[in-house]
Amino acid sequence: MGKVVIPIGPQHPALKEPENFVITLDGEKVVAAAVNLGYNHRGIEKACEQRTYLQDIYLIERICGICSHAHSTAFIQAAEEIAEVEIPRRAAFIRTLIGELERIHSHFLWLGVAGHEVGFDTLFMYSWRDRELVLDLVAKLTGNRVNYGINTLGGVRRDISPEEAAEIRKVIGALEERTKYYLGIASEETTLISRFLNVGRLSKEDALRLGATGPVARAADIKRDVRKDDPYAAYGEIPFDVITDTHADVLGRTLVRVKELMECYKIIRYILDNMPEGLISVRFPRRVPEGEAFSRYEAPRGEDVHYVKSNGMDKPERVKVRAPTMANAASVAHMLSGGYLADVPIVIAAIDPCFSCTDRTIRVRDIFRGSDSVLDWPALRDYSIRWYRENGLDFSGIKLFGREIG
Amino acid sequence: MMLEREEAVRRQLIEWLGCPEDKCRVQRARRIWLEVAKEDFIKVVDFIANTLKFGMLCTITGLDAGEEIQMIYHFARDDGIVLNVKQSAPKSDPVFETVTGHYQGATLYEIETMNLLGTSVKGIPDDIRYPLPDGWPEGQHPLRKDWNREVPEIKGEGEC
Repeated sequence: MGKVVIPIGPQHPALKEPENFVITLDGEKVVAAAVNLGYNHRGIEKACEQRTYLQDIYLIERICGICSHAHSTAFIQAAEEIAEVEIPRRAAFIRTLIGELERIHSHFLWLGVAGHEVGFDTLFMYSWRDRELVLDLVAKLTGNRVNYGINTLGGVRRDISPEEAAEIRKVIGALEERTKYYLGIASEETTLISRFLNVGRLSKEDALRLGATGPVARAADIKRDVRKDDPYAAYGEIPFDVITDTHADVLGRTLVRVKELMECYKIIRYILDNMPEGLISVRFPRRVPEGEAFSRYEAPRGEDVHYVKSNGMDKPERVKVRAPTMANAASVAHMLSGGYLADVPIVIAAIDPCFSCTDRTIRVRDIFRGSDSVLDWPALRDYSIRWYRENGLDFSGIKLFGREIG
Repeated sequence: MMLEREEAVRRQLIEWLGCPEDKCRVQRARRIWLEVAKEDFIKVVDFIANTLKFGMLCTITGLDAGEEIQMIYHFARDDGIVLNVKQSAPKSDPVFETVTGHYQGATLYEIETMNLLGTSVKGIPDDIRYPLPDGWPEGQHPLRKDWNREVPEIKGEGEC
């Protein structure tokens, strides 16, 4: 039988976001793989040049539903460096705290997806159930489950109260127990291990050569982590270990992520124990002086980098973003080659390609009437309009695309 | 001394290149900026990769600098130092050499500058679309400052 070429994506049940893989098969074996990206291009870099730095934070935060804090922090650090604005230590601690909570929900999400891709849907159900704990927590702290809007130029927008700190300790205590259970599964559950071991191999040499980043690189025994190598926010003073593994396959990537969760809890406890007193933001100039800066951030998926150039005005001259999935794209094609067609979904999922999970319903308990209901989209919209109106914001008469929004 | 490691890299670069002092500056801890002539670029990359041991190319930023297209290569080392190297070419002939000989993962970064800024990078395929769609018209490069913000008609859009 001759070689068969199979296109997977951009729309495919095994993919959670639009991307295209061209897989060349010899029987069941993948002999070549090519990756085509770009289906999610929304012109955000160009749009940033036409908006102020403050508006850009909110735009950049929406590059990704999961790594939203990673992107906004990477951008804001560059802007603050150019403007020579030093944020208060308390703000740096809060940014770090939210960043680690984001890492927790991202890694829990990934664990569920990995289980799902190999037919272990119990793991998917368990880890996504547990992930709700951290999502509810960030919603309490910031007002949102994702796209938290915590960052602002010169610091953060919300403080952490002692009551919230106690709540954080409670939640991470529960998550830590669950993580120990998952660590047991990843290191002892024979079915899962045989499904992950030697699948999607990427040697240390290949990872270095292809520029792999984040847990993908660390699972190939490369001790690289921007939090340690090029510390930002409060990481310079927080003790934690960079987790590596020598398996250099999907199993290694699983172990690295689960063990990194344990480090997240350690970092968060340190932050809560050592949170400095003081301001949470300082004044930031409307016009940013001429200059340029290059900022790095260790996102859950790997190194996220932003370059910002200022021309002395209130809008940046250039904003360049490189998300970790882009850095890992070359490695994916390499990992797929030599494997089996049935392993393609888990190999792709194992780099944790970026996808957003913003859809949700809200369960509202009316404490006065005791009713408990799930809101559908129109009801949620009506509730939102009513809430804003009662709180002094009336959108009546405002038209968007020819339709009244209030 | 606070910036000892950064200054040592800067001195090595200046001495090896024989370039004026102001072409290389230490911005802060772990950030160095260097400007090189286009003709010298590949041999500088060879020095950065093999002698200075910058093992990672974080990304390449292309930007419209008026009369020129500027490329900034962000190299990183395991000790956290980032070396940002700039080279420029006139907008009328924005041709650059590929760095994939030293940093294999750079292909997509270079293709991105070809699509969005209209550069030509010698040594990599010039028929790949990323991130613009396949039917995107020739000569339309959105990150050029004079680019018309109207989205051009894309061939094949909506067809299966």
